[in-house]
Amino acid sequence: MTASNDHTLLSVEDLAIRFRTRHGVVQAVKGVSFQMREGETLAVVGESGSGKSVTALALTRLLPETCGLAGRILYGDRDMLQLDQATLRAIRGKEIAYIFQEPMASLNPVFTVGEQIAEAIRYHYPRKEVRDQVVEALTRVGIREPERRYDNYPHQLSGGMNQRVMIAMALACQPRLLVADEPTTALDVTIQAEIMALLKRLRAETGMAILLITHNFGIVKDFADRVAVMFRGELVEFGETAQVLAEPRHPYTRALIDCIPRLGSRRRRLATIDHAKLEADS
Amino acid sequence: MSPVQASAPLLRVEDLKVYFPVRAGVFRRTVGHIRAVDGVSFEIPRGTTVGLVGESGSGKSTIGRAIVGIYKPTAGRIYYQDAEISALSTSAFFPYRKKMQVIFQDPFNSLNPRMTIEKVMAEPLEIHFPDLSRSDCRERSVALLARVGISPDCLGRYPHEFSGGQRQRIGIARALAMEPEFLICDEPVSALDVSVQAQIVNLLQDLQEELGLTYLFIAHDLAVVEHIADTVLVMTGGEIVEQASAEMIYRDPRHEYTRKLLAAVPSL
Repeated sequence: MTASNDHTLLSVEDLAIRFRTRHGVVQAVKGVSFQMREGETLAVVGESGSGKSVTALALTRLLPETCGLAGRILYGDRDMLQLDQATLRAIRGKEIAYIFQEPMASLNPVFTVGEQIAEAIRYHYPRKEVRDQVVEALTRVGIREPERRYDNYPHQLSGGMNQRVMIAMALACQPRLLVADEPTTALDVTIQAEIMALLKRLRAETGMAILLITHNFGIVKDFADRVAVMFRGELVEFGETAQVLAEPRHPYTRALIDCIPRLGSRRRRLATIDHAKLEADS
Repeated sequence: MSPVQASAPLLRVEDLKVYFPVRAGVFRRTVGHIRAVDGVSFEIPRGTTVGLVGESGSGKSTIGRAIVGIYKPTAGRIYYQDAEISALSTSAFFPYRKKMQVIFQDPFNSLNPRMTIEKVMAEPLEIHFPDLSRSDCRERSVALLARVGISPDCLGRYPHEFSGGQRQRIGIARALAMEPEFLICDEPVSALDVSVQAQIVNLLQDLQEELGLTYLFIAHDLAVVEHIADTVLVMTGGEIVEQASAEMIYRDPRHEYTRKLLAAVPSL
């Protein structure tokens, strides 16, 4: 934790997100409140369907118009839920940027990776010659021969390289907050370790804040200052990473920690999460 | 050949090589080869689990596919019990298709989206157990689905109506329908949430105990492999660089690449 820096970057207050579906209204997120400080890394942990990704998307209202949003998301003195689309577009990518799980799915297959990064820069800084800037961005994320890679298409790069391209794109405009939604889930463990090391280095270089979404506490321990645990659309636990790992207060947090196979724990039965029981207890 | 052992291996792979031709030019001439698997030998004793770890592109999935006959070996031999299966014709190989089943990483891609779960379960039964009546078939499907924790009410549903973990359970049930002896699990939990991953790993261990199954467990995550496997093979660049008991791999990794894999596992 960076104690010297206590300025609030973002404040989410009583956020509720609801989707209308064929089977009725789904309350994806209910009453979620948390704050993020400048430059801190906050991990949001939970299983598929716990509401962690929609919470992250709601920060810049990257959700369909039809979904119901309530509460407040204060970014500086502005409430993201009240802003018009033009203002939101000026913030997205420039101040709050995203990377996602599947880099291949996020990149456009018919444009070179260089052009795609250039587009992201030009959107916020028009009329600029950006090729040098793109090459520099590629260099910063550890892509070798960036001049040559500029003209490659996503399918010519590996999954790990494409994720580096996504990171280069997200950081091209030097955002204050990077939202990383399961950035390594689709990657091999060795590549995963490389990408997390890269994010650590870039975090130190830029001082940006990171909202890391993951289901793996192993990554959280190594990377996040604080952690928020989401369960069924609610925030059930929030605290310093070391504290939460040492003394998880909510049974769901305990269960999430226990179900990770550990090296050296051979053949012991893995803990699983008993949703019915958790439901009954809470 | 190794000397006679107390328990003969169920599967034996000897100096297996699988090369893929690289073609170029107008006449698609072969200009070189990709050595996906380059001289690999190992054994899997009956009732045990052998874990095969390595990164994408290391050749681990190719080995699994060569065993079930999807790829033809360039060289080397594969024995199932005492029979060499790497040189069999399609028809001679047919009975082995039943004994060896595969569970894939993404069950969504391996379940036909236009088939209900009942049809998904029935199709292999109709091929390999032609004498079963339709009601027997259904009964067996229901029992298998129940065994893996899927309610029989789901028979009429389509794959997209299930979560990733449920689809993986259906994939396992379909594999079990063949009453196999040997399962190749190719990254069966890599695409799943940690909590669901734990459920599937536990399920596979229970099934092994109950049915005496033999597993080849292919994955890139050494923590999962170490957890489920008796013996671990570490692969990179088409070759096995280390082979040891799961305990020794963790306690005393010999090869540099194994150490790199161990270091990459995020630990708590």
